[in-house]
Amino acid sequence: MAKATDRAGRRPWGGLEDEVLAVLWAATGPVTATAVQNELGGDLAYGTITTILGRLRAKGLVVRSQVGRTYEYAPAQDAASHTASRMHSLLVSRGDRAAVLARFVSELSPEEERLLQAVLRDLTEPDESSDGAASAGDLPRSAVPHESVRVESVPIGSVPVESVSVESVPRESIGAGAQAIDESDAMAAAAQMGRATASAGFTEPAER
Amino acid sequence: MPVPVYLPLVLGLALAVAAPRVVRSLPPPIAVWSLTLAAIVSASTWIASLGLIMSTAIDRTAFVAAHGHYSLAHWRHVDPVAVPAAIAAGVTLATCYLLLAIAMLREALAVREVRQLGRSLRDDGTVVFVEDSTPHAYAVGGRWPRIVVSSGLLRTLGAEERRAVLAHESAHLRCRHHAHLRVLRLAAAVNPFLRPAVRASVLAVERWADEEAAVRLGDRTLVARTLVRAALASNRTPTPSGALAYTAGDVSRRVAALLAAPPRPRWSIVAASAIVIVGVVASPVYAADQIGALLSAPCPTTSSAH
Repeated sequence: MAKATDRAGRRPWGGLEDEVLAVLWAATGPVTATAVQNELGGDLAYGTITTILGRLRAKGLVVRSQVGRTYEYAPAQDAASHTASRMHSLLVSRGDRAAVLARFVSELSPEEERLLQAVLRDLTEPDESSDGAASAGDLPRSAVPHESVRVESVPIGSVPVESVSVESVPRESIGAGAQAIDESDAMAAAAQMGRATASAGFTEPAER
Repeated sequence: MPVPVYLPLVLGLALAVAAPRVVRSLPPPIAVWSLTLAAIVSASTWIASLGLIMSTAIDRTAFVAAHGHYSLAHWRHVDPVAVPAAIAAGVTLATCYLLLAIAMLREALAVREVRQLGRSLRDDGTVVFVEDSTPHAYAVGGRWPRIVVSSGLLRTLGAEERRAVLAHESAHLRCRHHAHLRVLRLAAAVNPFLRPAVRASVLAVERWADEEAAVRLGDRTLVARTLVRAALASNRTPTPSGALAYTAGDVSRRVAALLAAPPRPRWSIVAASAIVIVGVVASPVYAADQIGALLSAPCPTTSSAH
């Protein structure tokens, strides 16, 4: 895949470290390594998670606190994060777009919002697996009963204590996104986005 | 044969107007590069042809005629451009240079403050996360490239969707989209007919990043779903500056394109566009050559200077 570092010695963006950091920032409070592992998916080894958390701690991006017999991790709120917030406020408040490349999201017209809500309903229906890619991410988050009790099948002596903690990780602590999006029952719109956009007057981007 | 002095002007404008429409059907990377090239060609042709038109009036002055070794009377007789038109061209040219200078200054100033802050952050490629309940995710290109994501957006998305956002924004930086957009903005400052091309390239750049993310994650539907969730969440919270919003319909277009098959290159269009661009570049050269021929044409009634 991507090189380990580019010419300037930077890691490529969006790698595992950034994903782990994202989980911490999305959480509403400190979380355990187990919770991070659960959130990121089962194919990541627990050791990988703790290694990454250790690296992030060494960089000063993450702080660790001990709660009982477990460690909990949270993003560091220091001078660097304050600088980042200032930069962010500056960029967001600017009227022109010269400094900021582009924002991921934009403002929507009411019609477009209705269309997109219909699309989201179609994309997240559990019985409809799009292209056979049926992973946990396809299901609406409210419908997935998160594993609130996780018991590691490893002997207690060989791994750190936190991996065997029977701990309920309520969805809310990682990111309660399930209720963030209103699914209004406004339209029984066309299932295909293509038809919907055509009828709304948005032109197709590519001729086929 | 009449001298095609106004031809480059018309062709430059035609290119500026046609380019956004033509690239719509092309795959995003080709579209972006084509728009950037078309903008450079259109803006330079615009400047070159204005200069050429203006020069015809300058050629009427005795000072220039003496140094150019051609007959002033002859030129005044065969000059294809009326003096008022030439003066208008000169004024427009000066205005274009002024607008370009202002645009370059604005770009530099806008980046300066942000750059000083960005420079003091970590430089090892770690994404910058900020505490902000408003959903935000953007890439800042340039010497200290950064990806900034707000906690508000992180909380709206699942792990896979966050991965899609990071893949999209890192594609912006990897493919140097900020450079393309900067060139287009500066070209549009010179030639205002290029404004639709700027909007078209903004959309094409987003489509390019969408396609890169879809390839990297191997799942077009995931990227589409991420886009929809993020757009709906962002729409719920009012943003401080509306100027950063796209034109309406862009999100729908992007989602529709992601839910369809990846676009294939249409080489006939690319070949035709290449020919057109070569023609546009050649037109001011041709016009200048014709004017030169007129200037040095032997005049039957007066003797030439050499």
